[in-house]
Amino acid sequence: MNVADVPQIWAVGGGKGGVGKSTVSTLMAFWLARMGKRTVLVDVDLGGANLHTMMGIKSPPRTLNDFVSKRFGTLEDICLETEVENLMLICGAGDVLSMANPHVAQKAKIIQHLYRLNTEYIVLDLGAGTSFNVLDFFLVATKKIVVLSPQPIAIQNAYAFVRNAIYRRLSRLSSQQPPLQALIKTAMDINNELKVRTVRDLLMAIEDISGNDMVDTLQREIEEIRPQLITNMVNHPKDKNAGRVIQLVAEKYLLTHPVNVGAVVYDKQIEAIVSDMVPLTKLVQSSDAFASVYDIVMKLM
Amino acid sequence: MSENTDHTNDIIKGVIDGLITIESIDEFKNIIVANPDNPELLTVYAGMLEKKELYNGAASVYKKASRHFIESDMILKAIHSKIREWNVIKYSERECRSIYAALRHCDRDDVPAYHFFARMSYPELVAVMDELEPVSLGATAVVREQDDFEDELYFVVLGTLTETTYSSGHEGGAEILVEQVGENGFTGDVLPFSDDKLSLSLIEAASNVALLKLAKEDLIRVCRKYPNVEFLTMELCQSRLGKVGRKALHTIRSTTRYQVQTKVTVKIFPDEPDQSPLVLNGFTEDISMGGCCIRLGEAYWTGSGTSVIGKNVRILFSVPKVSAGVDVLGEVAWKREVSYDERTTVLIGVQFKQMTEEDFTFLKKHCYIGDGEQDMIYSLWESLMKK
Repeated sequence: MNVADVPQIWAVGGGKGGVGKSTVSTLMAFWLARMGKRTVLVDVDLGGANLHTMMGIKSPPRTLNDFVSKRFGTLEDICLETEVENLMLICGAGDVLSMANPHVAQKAKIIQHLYRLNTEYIVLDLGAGTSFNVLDFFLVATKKIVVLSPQPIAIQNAYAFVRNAIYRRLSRLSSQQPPLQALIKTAMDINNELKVRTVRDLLMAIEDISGNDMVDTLQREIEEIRPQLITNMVNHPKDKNAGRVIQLVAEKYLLTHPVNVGAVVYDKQIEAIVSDMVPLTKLVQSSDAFASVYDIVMKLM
Repeated sequence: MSENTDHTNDIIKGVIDGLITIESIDEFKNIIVANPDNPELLTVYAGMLEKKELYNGAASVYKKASRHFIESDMILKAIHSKIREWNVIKYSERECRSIYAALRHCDRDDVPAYHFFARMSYPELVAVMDELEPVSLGATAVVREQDDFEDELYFVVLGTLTETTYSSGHEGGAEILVEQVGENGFTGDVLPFSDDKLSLSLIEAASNVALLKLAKEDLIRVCRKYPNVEFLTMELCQSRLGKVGRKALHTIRSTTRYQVQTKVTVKIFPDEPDQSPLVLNGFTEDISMGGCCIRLGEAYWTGSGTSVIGKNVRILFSVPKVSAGVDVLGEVAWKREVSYDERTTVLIGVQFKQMTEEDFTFLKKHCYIGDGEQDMIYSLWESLMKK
């Protein structure tokens, strides 16, 4: 496959449920499609899929389950048309128990096939939480987007999401070196007895085990993660600083440099539209939330 | 005489341990006649009958063995025999009331595996036992490799397992920790169910072992029908942390408190069962995995004349997006009066005792970043965002 043909993957995570990951994912996918980019919106909230309802679909005829269970051979086969030109949808609904905790091979299969999709952009709507399944989809993305809302708990969760993503990446990179991986896994527990509390502490400990080259490699990997922060449901000018809070803490403790890509203003219409099962893409285009997401998409492209 | 007895005992021990194999039913019967009440011997005999496809006889001997195990308070072994009985005869309805009754009267709360089964209702016990699979392995057999998925719980019915954990030492070298899991112990780390956990240890049989395997996916299915089993599994897995776990809990309590005010309803239970519980409202001052500090509302002054320290409490946290709230049982560990804005209010410290896995997960979600990070987020929130 030609590199130019490989789709760009934007993964939207954030740790906490209810911060608007699905809303932001849907609106971003909408704008990409409206800009003429062939886009596939994928609901990777395995076990709690609800994106199809935001697109006005009550019972999706095909879902990721059908792909994993080999009823369909490719992800293209399970893509659903939407009312928006250039925008396709892959639903994650279905048998919650089997998909909430896919095996590594199933997850790898989904990821491999994402790259084979004949499209320009893929927007992944990730589930809540920081399980390995969520983090692994987040880490394969070209743009790693973290959505948060301007409340302390959501900020903490978004920060913890970034922290866990970094440790997950480090842990996977060290899989061929058991002592190093054991150290990283130990460090993931904030109360570890080695007293490795921050990524900086961890890199210092790694230097002792594996030397400078390994530290440089890992540091480069951490820098490449560069989470893109979006603060959703902003109601007050100060709310926009939520991303800044994470930036400052992450730079100090995680040695990573998140990008604060913008804020989406709170919009009452969205709640009403979602409750009425009207496709979110029908949101009137004079909506401030709609406009905010347009600005964000332009920055991310 | 004494030498003969010793010799017979050696043979019986050898048969039970699998070192001596008896192929003849008549020969085995002779030993059984001399030792009719030895359930372990009966189990081996039943196994031989099963191998010879004498299923009715095998089931009857397993049943007898199970009964003897119950009489000796060896409940895990009784469960093991009962399951083997079920495996040879397909009953239309599986029945284990005698085990259930024995568990109710068995005073072995110190054994986590017993506690796990003893706290189940009868339908829960049947459902879990239905999913248990007897596994027999020879010495040195590998139960689980390091980095294999933690997809099963194993209860040790007979014999010993060793768990070897390799980790990084303080000086950068590797540390090897070897632990033994003996009879009535268990191994496996299946929680949280949503995680694909990899085993940190190599688990091998140190001797011939009889195990009861409970597959994670089967357990999840049972838990979906019987949520109490999920809670008991959580308790079981926590118990395995032992001293380390208690230490970790203590550390968490002291290091990862976070200061976000959440509205709570506190129900304080009186010592006398005929009295009504005292219901108060308040706000959390901070929460950790181990407990929380609550500032009580003014109703406390009119509603309470006695000390609340040591009382059992139920706390309902009003959490946005969690429709049912988060509901945790605990005990009041301390009480303090503080002056605030020229008014005196009461703070109580509650140590959590019981919570569902869902609630545990909720609290964990909010308490798993370090002290420094937490403080910095809160301080930046105060300076950059607080209106």
